[in-house]
Amino acid sequence: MQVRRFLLFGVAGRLCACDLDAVREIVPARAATRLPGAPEWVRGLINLRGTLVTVVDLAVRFGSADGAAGTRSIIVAEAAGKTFGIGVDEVRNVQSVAEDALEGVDAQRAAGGIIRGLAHVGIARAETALVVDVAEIVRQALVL
Amino acid sequence: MSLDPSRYAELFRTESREQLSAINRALLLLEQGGDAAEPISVLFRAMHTVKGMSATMGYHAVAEFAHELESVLDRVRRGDQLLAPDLMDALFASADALETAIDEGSEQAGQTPAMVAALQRLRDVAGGSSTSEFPGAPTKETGALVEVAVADPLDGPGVIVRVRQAADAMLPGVRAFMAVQRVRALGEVAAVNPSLDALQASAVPISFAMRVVTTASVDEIEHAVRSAGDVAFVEVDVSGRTRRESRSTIAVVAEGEEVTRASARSTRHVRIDLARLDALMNLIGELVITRGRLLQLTASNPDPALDESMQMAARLVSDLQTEIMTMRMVPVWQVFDRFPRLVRDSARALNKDVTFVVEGKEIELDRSLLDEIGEPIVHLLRNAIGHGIESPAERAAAGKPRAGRLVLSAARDRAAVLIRVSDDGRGIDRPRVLARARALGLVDEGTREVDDDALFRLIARPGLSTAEQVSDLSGRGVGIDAVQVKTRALGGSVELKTVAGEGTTITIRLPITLAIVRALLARSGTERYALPLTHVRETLEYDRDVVQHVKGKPVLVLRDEVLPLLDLRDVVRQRAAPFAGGPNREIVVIERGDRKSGLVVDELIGQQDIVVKQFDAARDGLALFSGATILADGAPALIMDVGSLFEGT
Repeated sequence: MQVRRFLLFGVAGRLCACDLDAVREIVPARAATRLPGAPEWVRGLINLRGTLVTVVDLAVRFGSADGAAGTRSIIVAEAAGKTFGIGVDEVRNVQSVAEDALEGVDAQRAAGGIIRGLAHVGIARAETALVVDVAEIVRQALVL
Repeated sequence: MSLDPSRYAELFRTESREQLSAINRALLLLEQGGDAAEPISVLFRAMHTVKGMSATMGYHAVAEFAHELESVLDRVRRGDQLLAPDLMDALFASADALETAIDEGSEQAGQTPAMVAALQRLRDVAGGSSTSEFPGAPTKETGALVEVAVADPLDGPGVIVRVRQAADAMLPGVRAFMAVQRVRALGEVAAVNPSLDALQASAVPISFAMRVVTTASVDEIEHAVRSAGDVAFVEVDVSGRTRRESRSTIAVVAEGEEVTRASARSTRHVRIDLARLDALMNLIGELVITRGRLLQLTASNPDPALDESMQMAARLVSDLQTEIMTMRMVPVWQVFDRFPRLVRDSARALNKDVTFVVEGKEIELDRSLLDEIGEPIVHLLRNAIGHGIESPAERAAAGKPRAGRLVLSAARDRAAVLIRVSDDGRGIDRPRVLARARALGLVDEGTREVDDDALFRLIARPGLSTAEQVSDLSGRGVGIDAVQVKTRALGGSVELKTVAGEGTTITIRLPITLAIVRALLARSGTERYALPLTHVRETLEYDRDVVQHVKGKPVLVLRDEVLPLLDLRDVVRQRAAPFAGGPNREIVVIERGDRKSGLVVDELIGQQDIVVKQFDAARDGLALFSGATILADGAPALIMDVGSLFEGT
């Protein structure tokens, strides 16, 4: 059976997952420079070893009351030809997920298209993670 | 030949392009009339060089073509052929065909259709070539090498350079030719023995000697020869050179031999891939940022020894940065040189009479900027010829000289370079533009007047063209739009001045370099923004005396002017209090063309060189920024495109 590898992370108390293939690295959260006019969930620019990377905050996007207060890590990802950062509260681990543990992936969308389904993960698939579509995040956050 | 000559193809193309540029310049000179002797001999030499180089490369079709042109020119030079206008046209067409063939690197045996057509035209006008058994016996030596025909060609002023090629030399003919070319960059090659044609034709390694009038050192000459490759032995005999002799000969060369001098100038340089320079520039950028951080660190940990080393390192980084910036600078003539030809062709196609003047050719600009700005200038020149300058009859009726005057100039203005295209044509028809704009709903129904700035914004909109007829050359007014977009992308701005019946001037203002710009760092609340000095006129303290209110709006009273006042907090949509004047704030006077405005900031942190970096624009983000930079503390700061602040006002 087909197995897909996901990076698991937490955002505003929710367990989330994204395709590991899209992830380039994980760096600690740092101050970002605001981009005037941009949507609120676009946190701004960070300096990633001399390169400017636009970072979005998933917690803000999900409408968390605390906003980006809990953001401690930035997942640097590549999608749609862009490198960008996703601010998350904590990064958990990498898990292989069998196809039959995915639910509604690419059939159901939530959170304005950013959530593309559910993955049942952990021991005995006891936990459920929201599968995040990184390419869709880029499309919604940046001018392509 | 067994060796693939493609390694030399790029060198061949680069050098041929230089020759073609000389050919086009000479043709234009010829067409303008005056003394034909000098341009003809320049043409002749350049054509001869192209012929030699293409034959050496095995591009026989190109060589044959150049040979035909050379023989026509020879007849003109001897006075057997009259330089009629139709011959001029045929020569221009031939130069174009030659250029295309060289760009395509025509190693194929046949001639391109353009070459065949151009040859046919030449023959129709000037009759066939009288000596067309090329590539048979070496043709008569001409141009720069014509003085060879003395008893012993090596007898005379200058140094004697003897060269023996390695026994296993590949393409000995090419190598020998290249060795002579390299030496030519150091001075005048007065004689070659055996002759250059014989050298080029050589299929076996060969020994040869040349007499060179030069002030270059023995080492330089030897190095030049060896750089051609496959050289076993070089000897430079300076016994024939005396100080006085070489000096005076060089002076003569400098006056008469423009082509030789031009090629000497360019071949003395090393050609570097622009990508390498970019990479170097990026590294320097990182170094500049790191320096800033180190300086902060040492300031917080006082230690005299560390401090001294740090200051030294900081100075070295500055010097290195200056060096590399200078390396990237090239004079604008490298791009401007192709415009006279373009103007001539456009003017003829549209039956206009145009005198074209280029000023400030020596002004330098960053290489990557110069590459980018060529296309917009072409648009502006074509617009001026197509729409600005009237037909000769129309001009005469208006009491103007029949020939329109078109000026392309480059000039430095503080931290900017101004490139200006100016014509003395009919000017932009304001009522017509306004009528179109009203019809398209771009302006209010009642609008009857527009200033130059508003007019420019109107004509820069795609689809609003005022041309009576849509011509091939100038398109449908998309030109101005493209110029505007391109210039903005380069961190510059475009200004327009037009007077009905008197002409139009369009000025492109560019930063001198793209990669590193000098900027003012301004604080607004907790945020910092960089304001490039390109558009900054002056700064002053916020003071009740200079700020007044007109109709409830704050304005800046600066000497005799009343300028609108913007608050950076509003501009960047900070949620803090709205306009808050008062002490401790400062005002930056920004300008674009004749328009000035005051920008109120919380604090001016200082001036510094910033490294411009691009970033991915966020959706709905304000289009106010030309890039971003990384400050000394590692945080990114946005670079404001100051010119765009005038768009909304």
